[in-house]
Amino acid sequence: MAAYLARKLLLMIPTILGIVVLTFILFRVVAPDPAMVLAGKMKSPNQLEALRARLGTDRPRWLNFAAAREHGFWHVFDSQFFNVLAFRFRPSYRTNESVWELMARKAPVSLAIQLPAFFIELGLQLAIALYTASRRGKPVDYVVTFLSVLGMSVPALSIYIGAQYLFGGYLRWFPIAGWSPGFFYAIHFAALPILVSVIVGLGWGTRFYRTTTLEEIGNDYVRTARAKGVAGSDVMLTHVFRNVLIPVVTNTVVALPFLITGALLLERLFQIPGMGGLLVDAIHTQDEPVVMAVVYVTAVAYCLMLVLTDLLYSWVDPRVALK
Amino acid sequence: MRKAKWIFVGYLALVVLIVAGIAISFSAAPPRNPQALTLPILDSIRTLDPAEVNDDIGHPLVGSLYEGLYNYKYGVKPYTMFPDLASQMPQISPDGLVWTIKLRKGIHFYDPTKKVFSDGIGPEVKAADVAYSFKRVGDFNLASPNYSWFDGLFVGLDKWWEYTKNTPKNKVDFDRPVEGFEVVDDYTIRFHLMRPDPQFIFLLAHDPTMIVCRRAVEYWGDSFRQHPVGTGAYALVQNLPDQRMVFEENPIYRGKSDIDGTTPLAKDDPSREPHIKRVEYQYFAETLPVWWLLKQGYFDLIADIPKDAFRQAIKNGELAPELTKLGLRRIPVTETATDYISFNMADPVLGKNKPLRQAMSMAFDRTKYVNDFWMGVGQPATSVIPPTLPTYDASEKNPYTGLNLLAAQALMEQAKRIQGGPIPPLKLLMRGADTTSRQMGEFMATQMARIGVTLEPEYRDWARWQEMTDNRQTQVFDSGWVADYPDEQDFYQLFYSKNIPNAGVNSFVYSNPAFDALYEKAMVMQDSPERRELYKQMNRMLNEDCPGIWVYYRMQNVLVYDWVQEYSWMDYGYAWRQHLTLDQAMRTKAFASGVFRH
Repeated sequence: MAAYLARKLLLMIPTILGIVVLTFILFRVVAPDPAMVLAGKMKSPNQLEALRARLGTDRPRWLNFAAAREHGFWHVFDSQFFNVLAFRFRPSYRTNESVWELMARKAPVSLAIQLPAFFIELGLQLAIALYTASRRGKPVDYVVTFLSVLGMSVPALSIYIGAQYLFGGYLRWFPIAGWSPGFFYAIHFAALPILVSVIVGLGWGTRFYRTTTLEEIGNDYVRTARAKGVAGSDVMLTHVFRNVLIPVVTNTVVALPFLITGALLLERLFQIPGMGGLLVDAIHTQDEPVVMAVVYVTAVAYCLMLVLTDLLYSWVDPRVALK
Repeated sequence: MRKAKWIFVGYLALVVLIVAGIAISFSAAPPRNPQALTLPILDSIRTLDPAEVNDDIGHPLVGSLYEGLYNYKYGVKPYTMFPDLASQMPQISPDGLVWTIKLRKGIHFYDPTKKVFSDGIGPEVKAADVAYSFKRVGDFNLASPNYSWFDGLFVGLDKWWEYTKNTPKNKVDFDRPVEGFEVVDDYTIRFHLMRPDPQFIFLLAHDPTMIVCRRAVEYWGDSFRQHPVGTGAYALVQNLPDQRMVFEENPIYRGKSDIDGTTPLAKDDPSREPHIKRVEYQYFAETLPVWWLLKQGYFDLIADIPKDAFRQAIKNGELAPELTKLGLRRIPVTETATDYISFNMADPVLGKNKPLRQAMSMAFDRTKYVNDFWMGVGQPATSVIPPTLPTYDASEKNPYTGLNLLAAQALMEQAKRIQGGPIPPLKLLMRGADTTSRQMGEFMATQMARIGVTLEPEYRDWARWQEMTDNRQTQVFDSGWVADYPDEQDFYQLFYSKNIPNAGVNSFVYSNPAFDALYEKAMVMQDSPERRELYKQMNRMLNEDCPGIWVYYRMQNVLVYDWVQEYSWMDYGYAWRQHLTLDQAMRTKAFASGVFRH
């Protein structure tokens, strides 16, 4: 187990490094000079110089040989890239706020939407999948399959806007958009985004878990259990469900980092001040420290979650041995 | 095996709990303050520091919190300036290099957090504060995006800039004198300019020259941008980033801009500003929710109809009846802004070929463009100067802005002779990669194809577009200019050849010594019939040279509920909200009628 963990953790390093290098190249090499963007329509060379100094883009990108000559070898790493690699992110170009503070403020908001949406969605997906799989070929199966495919085919944006108009604008059951501090106020504004998140995610999960369940139902142990006279619901919940849990664990654990990063479109449309909106705004405005920080942290969290998934496999299914 | 069953049951219980929580929260809608004016803001606020603000979103907010030396009279057109923190208009030396300005007395900074000043009342605004505020903009460490307004304008500012550049941020000595900002006495500041600059007066009514409180800046440090301490009619009482900002009346405000702090208006004086004591700004990234919330009466006013809602809002050129029934009224506004398609005059094909540029301008159907893309809201342009500026002359015909395909084709023959053969395909750079930009690019290409010019549109996001135009890496590009002050010079600077280098504002790369000579002569003159004549000559020169296709003058449709009165569109200046009035009885009645529901 320890050797397995060590190997997996070591393998994370090149993966994360690759992601960071790629994002860094996109934003610091390919993208336009952020000082030019921030300077606005009136620019002067002095102003651009000062802005670059403030943003830290006046430093060497990869290695700082000048600093090394002046202050010693280790200062060669006092460069834009190694600062990012060492989690030394500069403040947001736009607001000058620390990216850590920004993330600490916005991640809980995203979680307030994503976490309940995820659990409701998963519960419904599993319940519907188990039910329809046990009634394969019956009308209810066809109806659910049709609705699932429909849900997967309609673009999420259309569902968001449609729901916003119908439930918020026309029926006025929910607030159209917005956010407010305070637990109950937050839930008040979170209700519709949670609902549409569930609607958007329900289709594919139901289809996926239905297929997985059907595969399990066709196995010998299910036939044996039924032949032994075990009740249908007990077969599904105690025998089949446990084996269906393996893809559930994979999807759940891997989804966790993305619950924190939020849903990009959803947050913008419903005016949820979470991580999704932060990332979209940062990309639009070339706010590279924010993008780098979010991407980097997400990449690390994702890789860690993959390792955790492997560990959970062995818990869910004792046949899986980690070597 | 029971474990799986329990997991499933646990899940269901959790889902039930969440759904129950949501149901309970339905009665928890945050209460609305009936006295507040509620407005949307369509972008997040970067800063509330006047030295740093350079965007349309932050500008009106900063302008409610801080004041400058001068401002524009609210609702008065043509725009007229008045002394705000200054007590009188500036005394300008005969050579135009020395500006002496007297300050009003008895005006104090207000600290709503009461952290810098325990009772909230800060020191009186004095000339040293003016000098300090100007020095801040010239501080290398602050890297103000507004520094370009100051660069090369004030005597000794270059030395101050170098000094701050070589001094750590927290070691800068702001008591160090700068020759250009002379504190004559507590209530007199004298500016020494490097060159005569009649437009300097406009800079004194612009955000970067608003006066800040030194002790507040020193107390808050970098977070001063979120903790304004100003002299404006409003004070920031709540700031939830990316959610909401709440402004309330500054309790020590003098009640009106153009009076001294020593003679404030009484609290019960009906003319005392701000009339609306509380303004709530709600941040929205998308316009459709704003539109729906306006129709629910949640917002009292929006500055423009969202493009996606336009067909619903305007019927037969008028506001739709269902909206007027709600109590909304439409205020159409022509902005002091021109949209155009620029030619890069340094381009070997375009720069030398005036008939080609003229032909392209004549082949462009501006009316169709305005109808197709702006729902007919906007005026086809006849020159770069918009109609809201004094020298715009509707009777003066520009032969190259009317659609005339026959004449354009004749000009194309000349163009081909100059080129020595067919005109090669031209790259058209669009500032956006969204669907609308693509449709516009295709529209422009189709228009030019009618005279045998091939335009190849390239779509780039705004940042890349800006970089390419700054680096002059373009041939033809869509662009535009919004005026910063009510003087045509703001537009003519776009064609002055000394504004070409260092990513200057002359992105046309237009260089014409005759134009430069007129510009240099006009830019040091005060407004006069002679200067206006020079401006008109410059305009004719540009119309003839066609460095761009003048496309249209922007218009906006402000929508405002009847209970909000005294609204007036202002292109320039600040402190607009304090003039608005709110008829609460009318609003209450409208809501009670059942038209709206929250």
